[in-house]
Amino acid sequence: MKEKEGIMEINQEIFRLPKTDQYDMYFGPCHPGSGNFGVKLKLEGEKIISALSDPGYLHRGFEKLMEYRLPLQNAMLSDRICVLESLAWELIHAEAMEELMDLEIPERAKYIRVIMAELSRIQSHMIWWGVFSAGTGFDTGFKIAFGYRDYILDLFAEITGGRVYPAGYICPGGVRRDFPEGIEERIDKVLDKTEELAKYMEAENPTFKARTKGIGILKLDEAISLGATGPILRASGLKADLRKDDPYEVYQKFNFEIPVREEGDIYARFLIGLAEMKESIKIIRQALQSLPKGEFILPKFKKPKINMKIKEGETYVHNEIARGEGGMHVISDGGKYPYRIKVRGPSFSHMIPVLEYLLRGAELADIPAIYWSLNVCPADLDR
Amino acid sequence: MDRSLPKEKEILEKIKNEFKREGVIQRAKRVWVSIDKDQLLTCSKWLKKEGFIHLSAISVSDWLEEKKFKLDYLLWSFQDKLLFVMTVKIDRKKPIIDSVISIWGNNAQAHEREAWEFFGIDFKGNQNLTPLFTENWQGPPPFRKDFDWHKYVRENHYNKDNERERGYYGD
Repeated sequence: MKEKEGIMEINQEIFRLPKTDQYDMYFGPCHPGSGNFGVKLKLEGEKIISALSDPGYLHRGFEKLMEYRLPLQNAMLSDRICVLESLAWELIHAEAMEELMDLEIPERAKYIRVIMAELSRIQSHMIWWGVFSAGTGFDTGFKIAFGYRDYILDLFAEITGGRVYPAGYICPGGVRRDFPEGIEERIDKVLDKTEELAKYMEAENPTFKARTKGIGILKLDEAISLGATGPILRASGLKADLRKDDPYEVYQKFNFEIPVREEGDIYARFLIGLAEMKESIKIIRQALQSLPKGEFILPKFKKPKINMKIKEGETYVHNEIARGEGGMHVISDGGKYPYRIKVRGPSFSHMIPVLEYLLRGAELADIPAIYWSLNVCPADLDR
Repeated sequence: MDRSLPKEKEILEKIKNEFKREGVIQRAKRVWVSIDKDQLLTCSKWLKKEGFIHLSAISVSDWLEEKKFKLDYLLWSFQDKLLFVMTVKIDRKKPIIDSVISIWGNNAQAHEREAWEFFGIDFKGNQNLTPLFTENWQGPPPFRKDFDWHKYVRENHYNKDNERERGYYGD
């Protein structure tokens, strides 16, 4: 625009219609809901022609940083890999270190770890349900979920000292602190509350079904070739769960089901999340009943060990965390610091190949529902 | 005869017959086999046929003294519930290797992109080697062992007028 003899002259170019209906759009653009992430979209009308994931907003270089830190410090660093389920990542790191150092941890520590990991899964699934509700226009769901999640965070604060980041609670050798007096009853009460929430979550609402059924379908073949794991893979019809297939800690001692659905659409993924929460409650109740007495950490790890060498070797540890397969490939050259740690976050596959595949050909209005149905966490993608 | 770990032993026996390579059973459900660079595609195809359809990750490590990059392809079989780690070592000076997109699809594509970005490994056949995490990055691949990030930040981003930064980077 330029001013000419007191009258504003407007550049007519900007009012001309583009020659095609195609246009670019940014979904996010850098923080869609919870977690920093973006998707570059090319649309024609309301239809998505191509989608390009744009991660990196949360890249902190943990893999490199861990090469400069002791296992004791890495226990604290590892919970920052994913904000939404920090305990699960601490567990993976601790297991990898124990495997390299040939440590057999006390039975009680294993039970405490399972209870904490499952509580972590429940609260993570609550976030999933919450942000998914917000993404589909059901704002109340978001508030209900986050309200109930706080009961679990209160437990975390009491047991570990931190609500979201437990700061190295699950460490190589066991767990940092024993359960406080009478915590079993309080966990039980919180589980009752969680079951109460599950009643709200029964998804029989016709509007909700219309927005989720038959949309964002991921067939089993595609799911496998795109690297989907965990609830996303199970919603596409494969019964695979590392807690059963590659048992760690004491999971083999508990009875629980692996929920599976065939449809592979958004609705199926939603129902899988719901069913998994119920199974987690089952596991925690069994673990609380059979919780053995004894040490919670190996005696030599009670005081922080700084001059500890990691035995030379390498290992890959993978666990079934709320989002899928979370893993760490650790290499040690026999020094104090790990030589290399590769972190395998489940969202890496879910947010790059799977999301790009599902968005191609989808409608503009379905983007939030598809995005949130994948139970994503940009933090474990970026690391 | 030792009857423990039958599946692990079976796959090791097969790979010995097929590719003349010896492997290691680290523990139950963990098999590590190192192969040659030019065996990568044939071995990958064969492994996929054997049921290793899920590529967990491609993990790269940098070995300065050996002058090699080590690539570990972490493979999982849903059928046998077994983890197979296929290890390939490539020259550090000319880090080129075949892409496995034709075998493990777009999942492999994304993992190779990461390895290219952080270690500068060129995957022959991967058309979309573009940065995922870094933006306008001008330095060397940042996860290589000879890249000193502390020195790099000090030379390029250290603001001497900032008291807090002086406390960390100052002499």
